[in-house]
Amino acid sequence: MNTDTVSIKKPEDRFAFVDQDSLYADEITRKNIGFWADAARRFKQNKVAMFFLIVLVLLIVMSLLGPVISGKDYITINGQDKNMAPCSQYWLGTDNMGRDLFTRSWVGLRTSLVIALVAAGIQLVVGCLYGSIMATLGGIVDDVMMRIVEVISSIPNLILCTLLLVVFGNGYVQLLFALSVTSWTGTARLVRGQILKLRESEYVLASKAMGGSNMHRILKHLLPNTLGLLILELAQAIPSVIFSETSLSFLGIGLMPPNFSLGTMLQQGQSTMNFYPFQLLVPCVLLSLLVLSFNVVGDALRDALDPQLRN
Amino acid sequence: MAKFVAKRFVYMIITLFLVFTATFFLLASIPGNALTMKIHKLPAQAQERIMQKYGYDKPAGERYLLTLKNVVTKGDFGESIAKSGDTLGSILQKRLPPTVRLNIQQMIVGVTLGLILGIIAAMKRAKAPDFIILIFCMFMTSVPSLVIALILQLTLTGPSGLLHLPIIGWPKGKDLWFGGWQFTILPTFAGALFYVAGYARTTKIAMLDSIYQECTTTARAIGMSETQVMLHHVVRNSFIPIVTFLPGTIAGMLSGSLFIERVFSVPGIGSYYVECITQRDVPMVLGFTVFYSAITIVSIFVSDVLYGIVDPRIKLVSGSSR
Amino acid sequence: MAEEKVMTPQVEEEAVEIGKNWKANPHKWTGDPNQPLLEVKNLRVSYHTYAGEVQSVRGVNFDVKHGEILAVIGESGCGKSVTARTIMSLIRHPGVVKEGSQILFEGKDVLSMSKKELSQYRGGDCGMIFQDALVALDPTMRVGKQIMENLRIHSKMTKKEAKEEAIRLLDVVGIPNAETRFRQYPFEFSGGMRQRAMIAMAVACQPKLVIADEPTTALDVTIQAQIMELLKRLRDEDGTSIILITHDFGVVAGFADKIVVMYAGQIVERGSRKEIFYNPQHPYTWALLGAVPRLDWENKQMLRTIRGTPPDLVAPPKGCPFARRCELCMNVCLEEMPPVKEFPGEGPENHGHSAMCWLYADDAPAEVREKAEALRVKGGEGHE
Repeated sequence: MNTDTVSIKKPEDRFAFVDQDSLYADEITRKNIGFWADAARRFKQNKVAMFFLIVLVLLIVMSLLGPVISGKDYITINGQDKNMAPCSQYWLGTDNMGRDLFTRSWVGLRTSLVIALVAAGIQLVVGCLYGSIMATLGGIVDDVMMRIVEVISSIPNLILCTLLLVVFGNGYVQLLFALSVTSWTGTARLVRGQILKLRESEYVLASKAMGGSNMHRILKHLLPNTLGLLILELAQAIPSVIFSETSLSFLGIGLMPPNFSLGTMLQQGQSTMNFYPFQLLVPCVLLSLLVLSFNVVGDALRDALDPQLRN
Repeated sequence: MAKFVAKRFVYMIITLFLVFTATFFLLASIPGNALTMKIHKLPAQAQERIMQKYGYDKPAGERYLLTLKNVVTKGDFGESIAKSGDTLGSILQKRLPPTVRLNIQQMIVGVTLGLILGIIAAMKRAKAPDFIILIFCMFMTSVPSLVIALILQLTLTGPSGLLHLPIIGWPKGKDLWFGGWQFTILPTFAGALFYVAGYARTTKIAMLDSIYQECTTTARAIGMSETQVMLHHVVRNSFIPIVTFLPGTIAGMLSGSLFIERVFSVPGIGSYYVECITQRDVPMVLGFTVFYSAITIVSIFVSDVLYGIVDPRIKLVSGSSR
Repeated sequence: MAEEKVMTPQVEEEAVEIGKNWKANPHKWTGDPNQPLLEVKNLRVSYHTYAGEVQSVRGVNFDVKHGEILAVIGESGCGKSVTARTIMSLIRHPGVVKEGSQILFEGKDVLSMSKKELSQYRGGDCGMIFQDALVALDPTMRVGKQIMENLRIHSKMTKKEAKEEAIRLLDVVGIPNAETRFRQYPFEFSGGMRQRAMIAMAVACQPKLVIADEPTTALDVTIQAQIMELLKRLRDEDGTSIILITHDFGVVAGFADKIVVMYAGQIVERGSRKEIFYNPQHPYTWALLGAVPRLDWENKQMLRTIRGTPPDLVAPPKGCPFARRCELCMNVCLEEMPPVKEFPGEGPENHGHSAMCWLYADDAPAEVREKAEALRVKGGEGHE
């Protein structure tokens, strides 16, 4: 605005009237940034989050490539190389059965990660479907479905998980099932509440009044307003699933040998921690780093997506 | 208010009944349990006799009605089929005190430390203490309690540990409720640090929200000092969101005691429950599930009532879920 | 199980009737009646935001005499609310009051007061009424208690006395059933009632100056009139000075003694009510007056709108801030700050009418004046 195009050349021009249209010719309108572009811009500005995003990517890449790099066998029991300290052959030492800890850690991380991602994904899909069915159908269906949600969520998560694992046995599929069954209720409530709120909101009413179609409302109002929340829900769900999975495996209820994850490695590490603390520390560090990166990235996403913080 | 409580009470009973029923039939659908594992080598006649003794010769429906009758009339979920003589009542009597003490200590540490840190962080916003607390919180919410417990155990206990604390165990006898702190300190902190971080964050956000509310400007405009504004308006208003976190904390700490008790060998109900689970002790698992749910439901109810007391704008209206 | 948390506002009919007197002894001031109660000198306030330094208030001067009602008028974002808050010394991070600014209350600089003096000044000497009482009152505290807080800070009243006084005040500002209302929460009040309670709170300690920051903006027109009447009574009966911040010429029409027109953080025109309504000089004032619908206009007359938006105060224009929206914009307006021109009034009517505009510069050619005369909005007849 202050970049004036007019400048006074002759003193007698000082009091000449300015052509009205020229006053608006150079008016700068602030560039209109879309919601997602703006969120991405703000996320990129967050240096810490970018750092942990890189850490997260590295962890994922290593969980895939780690075993290949070391090329060690992580399954066969090797009686001669039990409880070795880190050395050139075994970079992080071996466990109490002589298996390479470096390789095992990455494979364990991969297991925990896959379980977390899949369970969080199931939680989101089931929660969304259930929640939107509740909100759309309403009435008695809504009441009954809500009661089911309340019954499920009145049992503490971990207790319900153990119960289901007892009934269905141990294994990947059963563990996934148990973890998903307990976690989707929160998402379902969130989605239901969001849809009900949006349905009442004035801008949806306005869109209706202007003759917008249902599809338009879903695409332009419901989706953008819920998607941000769902991304956050996913970012929060992953660490909590990792927590549950490791706790269960640690208690010996989750995965059973020969399957293993970071949780079972913790259990094993605890039994030998006084003599071979490395066997406990390695999974501890990996696990903490994984959850920390998810949390930092999730927090940054929340800040980036929160429309309240937009300026 | 009375109507609200009564209606909620009925809902609580219904929910517990549903939990009981669902759990019962889930457990009844398992092919094997502690009993079948124990007796599968005995001759067929002996097997039958034992099954008869525990009532497992009858179909599930009949057993369900029988158990329901016993639960309603005597609060009896049946005798343990893994350890003869144990019942839910006797176990709770024996093993509840350590768990209750552990959870109360965790609660006190978690909530008070969390509140203090949160208030400091809010008042020293964007200064060094705030950043330190922020990093601490980020760290504590990211490292699973299980890992914290293990790390504390690894570094602080035993002859080589920094504090020479006992590795495992729990005070007994006259120290059961008070004393024997060297045993309780690590389990308490291991379980509480996650909640310290959670409460610190919640408190800080709630405080900042109320600090920037217009009503604090009004309070300043009538001549209140900063401290008075803090005490009269900010802290009061910050309690509202904090109250909503209480039931989650209680449920979370109960679940947490499953592995905290395991790590530190605390003779509480958490470690017993894990044993029941691994042994498929059907009646005990049923009893504990209902017990844990009851506590969760009651704590949700209590926090709702508290919420209504703290925030006058909210009227407790009993009714459908709309 | 899913109990809903429902907000139940209890809106009651507005009471039109107004209660008793404010207090037994009207406010008496000592000393020279011509000595201003409040002087604002070269006030500059900036906000440091992510986009840069927003210069909200850029050198504002005015004074308020005892028992005088001063209206500050301007669009939203022109710095009038910031000015009001600065007078109460309520500017907080990221806002900064610039060096050289002075706010003298009875000769004492508010900006350099100690904490103790400030505590007496706020609420005791100077009360403030906020725009939206719903957010300005603590939502979780009973209305009566909030009024009591003020009384208890500034006087040595016991709880019981403070309660009685608070109930009396609620009655005075025209809230029926004051005793019941005392125990209610802000959300149980209707908008007008809340604003009355807000006024009761602001005047509880009989301040010499009351700052009303858009007190009627959130209210219905009929209730607006009642609130303005209430404020006018405060001045008439107690001799309290009032600074009224508003964007609505209609609100001040029958009310203000002096009017200050603000634009982009500066005062562009000032004068008595008559001078501003009947003889406005600044093109911005014309535009504002022209944008108010009038009953005496012919049917087909169009309302004048002001095109464009106020300038970005992160980088304020070097010339007249209104230049780019002005129908009489000249080259010089874009380049240099306009001079302040005084307009001598007739006899005692002179309240220091002045405008900041190049049209009245001493070296401005005659044809400029002519064009200005042709375009000016004639007067505010019909506004009063």
